[in-house]
Amino acid sequence: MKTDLPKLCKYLRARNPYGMPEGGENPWYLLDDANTIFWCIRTAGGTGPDYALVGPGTCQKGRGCYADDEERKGDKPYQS
Amino acid sequence: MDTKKEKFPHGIPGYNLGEIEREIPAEDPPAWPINDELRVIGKRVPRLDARAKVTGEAKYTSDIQLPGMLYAKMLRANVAHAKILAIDTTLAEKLPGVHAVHLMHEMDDKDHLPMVKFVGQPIAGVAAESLDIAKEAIKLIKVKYDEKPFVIDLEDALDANAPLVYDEPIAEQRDGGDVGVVHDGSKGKGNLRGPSTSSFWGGPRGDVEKGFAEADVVVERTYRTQVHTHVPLETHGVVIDWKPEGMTVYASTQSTKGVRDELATYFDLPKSQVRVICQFMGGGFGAKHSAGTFGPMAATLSKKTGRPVWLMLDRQEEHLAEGNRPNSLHSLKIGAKKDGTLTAIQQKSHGTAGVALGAGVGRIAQILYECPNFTTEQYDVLTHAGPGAAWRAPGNVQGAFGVEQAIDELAEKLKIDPLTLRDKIDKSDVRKVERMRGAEKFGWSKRQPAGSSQGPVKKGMGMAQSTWPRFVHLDSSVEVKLYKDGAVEVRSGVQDIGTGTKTILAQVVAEELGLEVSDVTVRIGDTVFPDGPASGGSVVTGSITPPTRNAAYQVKLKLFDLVAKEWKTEANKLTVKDGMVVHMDDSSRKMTFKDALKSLRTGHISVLASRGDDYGGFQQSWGLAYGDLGSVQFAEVTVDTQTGLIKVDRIVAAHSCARPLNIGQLESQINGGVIQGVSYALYEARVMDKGTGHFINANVDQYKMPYAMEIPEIESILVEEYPAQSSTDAYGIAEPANIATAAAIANAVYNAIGVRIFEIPITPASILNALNKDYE
Repeated sequence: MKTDLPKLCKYLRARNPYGMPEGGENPWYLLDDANTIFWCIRTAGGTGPDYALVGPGTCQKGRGCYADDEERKGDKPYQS
Repeated sequence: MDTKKEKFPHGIPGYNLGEIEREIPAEDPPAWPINDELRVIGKRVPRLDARAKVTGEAKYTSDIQLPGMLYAKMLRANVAHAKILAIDTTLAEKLPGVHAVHLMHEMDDKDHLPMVKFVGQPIAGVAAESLDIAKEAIKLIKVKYDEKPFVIDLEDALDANAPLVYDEPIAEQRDGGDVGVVHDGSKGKGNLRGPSTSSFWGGPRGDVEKGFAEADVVVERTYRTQVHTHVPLETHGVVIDWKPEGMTVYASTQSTKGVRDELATYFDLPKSQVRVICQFMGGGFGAKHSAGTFGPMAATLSKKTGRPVWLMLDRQEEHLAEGNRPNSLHSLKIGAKKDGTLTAIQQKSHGTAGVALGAGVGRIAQILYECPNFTTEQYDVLTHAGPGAAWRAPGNVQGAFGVEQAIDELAEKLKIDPLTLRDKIDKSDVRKVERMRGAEKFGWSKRQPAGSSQGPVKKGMGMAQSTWPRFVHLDSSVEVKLYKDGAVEVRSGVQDIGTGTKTILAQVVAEELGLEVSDVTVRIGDTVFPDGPASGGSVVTGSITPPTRNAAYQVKLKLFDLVAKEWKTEANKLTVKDGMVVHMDDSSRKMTFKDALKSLRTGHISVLASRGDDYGGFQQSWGLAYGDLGSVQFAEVTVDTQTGLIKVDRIVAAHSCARPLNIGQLESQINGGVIQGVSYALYEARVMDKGTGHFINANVDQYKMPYAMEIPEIESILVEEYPAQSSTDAYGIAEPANIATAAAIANAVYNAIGVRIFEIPITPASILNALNKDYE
């Protein structure tokens, strides 16, 4: 499990090339990032609610659509 | 944890089979012997659902019919890059038969109209009384676009003035990140992301400059592969029935629990209120793990209308928006000493997964051969095209196409047979055996020097090999139930994506309980059962069969306790054989398994078991076990140098998946992987129109796939291997079956015509161009 990552958005999800889901209640492994697919639960796609790329490097605190574990969907609409 | 010591078969029969002692959990079953000594395991057991599938009795997701069901269709963008200024659904909503219209962006944010990033991006959905009405309704939705410049070609997207897929130039690359390493982001800008420079598979090591200085020969080449879509026979889709007490989802998915978890999160529902069912599955190949956009859309339409909603994608939507294997521009430089010892590998790749990431190709170069000096730079290039997705051995197939040709070129320069060179530089025992047995079956000794085939129609032979990690998912559980009436049932949420999971679970239980496979009822593909693994990464067999055997063993012991009381003996004196419970010291004391179950005090007894750690300490600190699944494939081709036509005549595919469970099913999976590999090597390619950004062959007519006459004779060799890592010692074979095929064909084409082709698909035009270029 990757332990040196900053806290990531609760809506970020990934699947590594070995079939394992990452994010949500699953730990972040980021075993082989060159073949890992990331997506956002809020948009159901690889683009965030702000139409920017999603990934562990960008789905962090400070991004307008970021939500941490305490926030539920709808509590914090995206602010452009 | 209480443990015990058990002796396991270890190694490869006919090569180095021996025995090894493992300390294993006390409640786990004793070691099975090798397959020759088993009754059901390792045999050609017919698929349990074969008849249902060929007669049409099997109901796939698209076949689901529910009372009051509505049909949905999604409106997709027909421009590649735009800001949406307005969406008018008035006419669609008024169309008779339309029950609901929903806009995709309103799933999350009603205040901002969306940006379009690729042709095919979903914009809206309609639920209507028929599919025809739904299709008509989406034509009535008016979308006003403010179109913007776009780029769909990998090399064009690298241009400094190329339109940006994501507006902000990237100053720092932090997408992904390797274990313990933050990317060097200095080279990421514009549409470029990366490089990924290392991985837990090995990554950079040594000093490549020094390595190349030590080399006697160097091969330096650039290879190109195309964008390749998944084309499962069954497209993505769901039928969702959202009632006040919860949502029932019929999904064509590689992960029932993945879809459940995603929809539960999306709609803030407890998992207990989302039930996902996948009874039959028409292929996925990596792209069907999530709920997609269609899942939340169908659920929302069901909630809005209070009726079940059917939403299956058509073939065009499937091509446009539901994943693809990214293309690659892959540069390799490999150095070696005269004796073949590799001194350095330098790799650099660019690939596009459209609007998404994940186009790396580096794993094979990092890990297949021992080399002390290695560097890699893997870049993603963003384009205005549909997102990539995992595709049977992500990145490895593209990578192998380059690496395995480069190794062959190296062998030629060194005047060493390609197999001999691999014997020298590949440390895998199982691949060594695969090379030996494969070469014998294939007739490798008849291979002639490259380009020496006489006449205009030339024959060629080539080979290539691959590696894939032997992963397991520890969150894999199964329940085995014995009923008082004699019935035996296996339950797990794991889905069977068409590979035969139902059958192998029945085999494992039948072997353990001394029954016939037909005595076992397998109920899987439903999240009301214990969670099973996702069907991806070749993990299912290795993840779910050990807990299945363990549960069957433990429930058998419970039954023995009851029988022992009745017989006034010790439970450890009992065994099962040929459908009977038998006293080991007195064979006259026996009863049928069915009669034994009559002693139950309750209607049934059951045991639920989960995947434990691998035996022998094969466990990473983060909880994953791993090893290596090797494969070696041999290809024989005919090339007509006057027309450029290529025919793959024959493939010999030598594979290992540790203990094979079902020979027929494994051969079937190898056949599928090889056929996809032939198709990738010679036929399939996404064609994009640079002027409009449209995928112009998004069908199954112009998106060429092989028909029956183009499929070669395929011969499989299964190399049994016993690593002694679990109670079944069995692993999957899906990924390995597909990795080496295209490279083996490319090497065979070179052997036939004496001119190497560095780009797939290898078409008649590329053959003629290569020959003409060589002639000039």
